[in-house]
Amino acid sequence: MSTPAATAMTLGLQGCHACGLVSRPVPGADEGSCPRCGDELSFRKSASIQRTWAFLVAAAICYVPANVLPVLTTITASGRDSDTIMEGVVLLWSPTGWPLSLIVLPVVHRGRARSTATIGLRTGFMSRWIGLSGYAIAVVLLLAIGITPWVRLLFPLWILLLSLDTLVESLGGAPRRGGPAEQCGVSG
Amino acid sequence: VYNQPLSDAALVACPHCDLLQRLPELVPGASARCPRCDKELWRRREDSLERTLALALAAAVLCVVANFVPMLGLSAVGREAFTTVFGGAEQLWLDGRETVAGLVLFTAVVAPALQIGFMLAIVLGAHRERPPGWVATLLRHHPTTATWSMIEVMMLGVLVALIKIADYAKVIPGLALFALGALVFVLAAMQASFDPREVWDRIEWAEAVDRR
Repeated sequence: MSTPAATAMTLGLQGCHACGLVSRPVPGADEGSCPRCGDELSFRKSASIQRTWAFLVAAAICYVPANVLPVLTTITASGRDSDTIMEGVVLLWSPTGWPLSLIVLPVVHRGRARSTATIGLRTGFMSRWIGLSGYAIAVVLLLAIGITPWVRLLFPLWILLLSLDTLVESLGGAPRRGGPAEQCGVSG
Repeated sequence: VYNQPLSDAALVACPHCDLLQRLPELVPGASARCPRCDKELWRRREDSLERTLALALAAAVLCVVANFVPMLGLSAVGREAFTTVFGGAEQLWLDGRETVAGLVLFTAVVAPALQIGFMLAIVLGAHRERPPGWVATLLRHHPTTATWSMIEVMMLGVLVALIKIADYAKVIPGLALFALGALVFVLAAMQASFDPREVWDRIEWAEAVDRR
């Protein structure tokens, strides 16, 4: 982070995501199309961070009913039978079915908390204590989910905590921004 | 407005972190990675076009079999019924679930067919010395068809339904179910053996097509 790397954007160039060609917008224009494949090019996705946050928060909210409420109800001659995802995992936990159960469980639960924490720690995006508490929550989710269903609320809470932490940090820190404004010449 | 190309064609920007770098010449099988974020920038495939053509043809045959042969049969209280993928979507439509029926039809029949058809056309077009502009158009939109082709998701859904219903009726797997299972792997192999950079390097540019 100390020395800024020569990215295409800081040099005023655009790499095409469809065909990979690097090209330069014509003088005066901000953005254009790729001369090889015709795909539209842009330096940044518009409002990328804000939109990602919005969707992330929405996803964390959806995560609660998705796990607390039944996912499927089977109605047969012998009666009704509704299952949540976790009940499905318990159902699969039989002498023959336990490997399946092991696949479903991490995919549904630990997958999110832990991999989010890993990504956050690796990129330096999360404070260390938040990242580590992510692992702790993953373990708790794995082990204690059978004891009380309220454990499920931990993950959305953790996301909320993370959101607040990031908000505070981004308000306090200096704005980091690169853009076409910082163009400098490149020998093509 | 078209951008201006650079004179150095080996310059690439990493699609993940945008680092500008020069691609080395690679031997088949070797790959180049971004020094900053470790994203794989290019993997040169051995005999890419021929292998992709072979796999695309195999996928086309499997796709036809998968769609015109019964996929699943149910046998309960002495009655038997068979259905194809298309028949399943039709039944969903008749049951009043038009959205689901459309989704199934699109992701399990239309998108895979487009994915295979696009790939066949691209590979055949790329056999020319200078592939024409329409190959570029297909090549640009091919990833979209691959994104929407969700045969493996449908297979998973079918398996879950099979387990759920196995208590109440006897399930008879049809030929199409095995064809679909094979298609999942053939499609993955087809995508993996294809090296788009090889085609992009020789293709007629969009700019030139427009000027004509």
